[in-house]
Amino acid sequence: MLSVDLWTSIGLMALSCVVFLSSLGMPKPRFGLGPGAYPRVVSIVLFMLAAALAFGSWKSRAEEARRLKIAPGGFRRILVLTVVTLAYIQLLKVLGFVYLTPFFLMVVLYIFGYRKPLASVAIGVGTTPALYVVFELTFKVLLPEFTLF
Amino acid sequence: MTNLTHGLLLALEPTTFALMVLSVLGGIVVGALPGMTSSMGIILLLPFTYRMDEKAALLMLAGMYCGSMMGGSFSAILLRTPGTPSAAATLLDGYPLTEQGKAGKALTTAVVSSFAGGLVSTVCLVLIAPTLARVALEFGAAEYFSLAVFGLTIMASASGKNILKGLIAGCVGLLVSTVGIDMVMGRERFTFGILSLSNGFALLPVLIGIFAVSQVLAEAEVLKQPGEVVRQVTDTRLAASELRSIAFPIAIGCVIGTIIGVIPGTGGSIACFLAYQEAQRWSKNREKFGHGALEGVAAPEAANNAVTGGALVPMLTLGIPGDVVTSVMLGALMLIGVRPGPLLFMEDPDVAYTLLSGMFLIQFVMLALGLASIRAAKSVLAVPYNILMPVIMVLCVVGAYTLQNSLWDVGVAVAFGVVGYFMRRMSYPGAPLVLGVILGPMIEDQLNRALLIARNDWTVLLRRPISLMFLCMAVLSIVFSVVSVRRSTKQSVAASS
Repeated sequence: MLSVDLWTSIGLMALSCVVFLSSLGMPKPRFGLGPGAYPRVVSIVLFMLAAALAFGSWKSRAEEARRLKIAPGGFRRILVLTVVTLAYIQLLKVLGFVYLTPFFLMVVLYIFGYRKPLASVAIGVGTTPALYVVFELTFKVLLPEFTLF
Repeated sequence: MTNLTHGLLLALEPTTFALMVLSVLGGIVVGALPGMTSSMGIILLLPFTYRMDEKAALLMLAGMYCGSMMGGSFSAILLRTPGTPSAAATLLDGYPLTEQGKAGKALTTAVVSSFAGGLVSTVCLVLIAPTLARVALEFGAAEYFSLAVFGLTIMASASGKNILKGLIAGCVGLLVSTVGIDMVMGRERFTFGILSLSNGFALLPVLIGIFAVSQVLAEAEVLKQPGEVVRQVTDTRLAASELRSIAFPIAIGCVIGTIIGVIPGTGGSIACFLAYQEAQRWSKNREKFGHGALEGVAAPEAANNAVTGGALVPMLTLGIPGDVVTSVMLGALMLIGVRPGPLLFMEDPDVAYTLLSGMFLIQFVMLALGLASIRAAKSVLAVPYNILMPVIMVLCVVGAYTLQNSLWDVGVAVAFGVVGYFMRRMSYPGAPLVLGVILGPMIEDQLNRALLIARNDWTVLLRRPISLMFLCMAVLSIVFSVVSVRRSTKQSVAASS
């Protein structure tokens, strides 16, 4: 089985190749750096570093370098939290901050293992207006508004 | 002196002072909560500071920095869990004191020592920073390029056990900074036709993602319960003999912390252990260390707060951060419109000297609030994580949104949060990546200028003595780091066999 470090270094080498090749087509001025020269230099350095990491992890037989250790159930929670947050961001455009945030907070509280329904509602409903007052009214930041109708 | 007095008057303006007090209090709370770091506190504070006067914003960020450094000792003493990495040495004697029913004395020692450390390092900051800024005014493009490279390598080599991963993170940060329209010819780079990428990745969403969202995801992985906090914190007064016994360890902590702070790439966690060791070595009661000695609390706490002023020296004068927290501070200052570097003292003396004078005030505010909050500390530490983290997630979303009222930035913050989480799990440090994003445009711009002046002669970087010195230091920092990691690996292998 290939180690995590080896996989990431292969990915990083691929990334540096993409950057290097993309920068080849960029214009070259007579003097100074063009838009492509600097990313090209960085990509070469990154490739060499990633190659060194790949060589090191290939040589190493340490078991801890092979696996990505995540707590039982942890990956599922992280995945759900990320998906819920991305859905929240998408829905903010139409449902607005004030209406959506209490529900988002209640769901995230549940993901974090908080199992008191009434308290969850109180936290969701209490925190949202507080943030709204601080940002929208005090700092004049226009938070996303309800635009569905 | 006139500048400092003027700065002091500006810092004492009622609104500015009130905001500074609030930020110090916030810093103490952030520092006290395990899992909440100084960097995270500064990032969460940033969205509140956009629309403020830059001097008030600057003092709030400094207040958060200093307050959180002190707050870390509260959980180290009461919970045996350091609130910040810089408080790791404090628990060695702090928690045994709590077990002996002397939590109040330990906390008072921590507060007094933090105050002394902060005050001494602020004096050094005031004495060194303007002088160093004058020297740095002589730097040209080649020197700035080499200095930025040195800053990046030193951060990469100091941020983790594997320097290779630190350097890779730094390079990825530099690549991230190239996305968008380039500064020289105005051509789009690596945007893949996505309009939102034309301006590149804004710094704040990257900061929020790498330091705050990734922390929330890490907390979601392992659901923690709040630690068991001591029921009563009593007897907070220190006797005259106890005050005398901690005076010398405090002095040791102040000296070590300030020196360590000024050296780029070091930071509070190194300073606190070094100060602890030295205090033990010079103590008449060295056998008490580890079993509940007040000296063992005083030295590391003085040291970690003495780092704050020292670490601000290279950041303010050269634009190069001294540690992870000041790299976040550097990004934060740029976001509120303050450009750290030698010109700050020439072009914006009001801002620079308000910070220097404000740092003095912050230490006194920290002492007063620290002593006042000792008895309330146990209530703060009892805040459940499963309530705190969802609220922080919402703050991250709002914080990323407020920069440009853009949900794209929020998405960027979440994406970098996921990247930051996996970086943590795979032992890649986040600080070099962020520093790469911050320093990337400067490195490219200064290299371009140096090459334009030298008509594409790359040896200009080696022909100028200061530039050569910085490049040599960059190489040395990598070599030194590799050698020290190999040595410690050999020692641990020898110890285990």
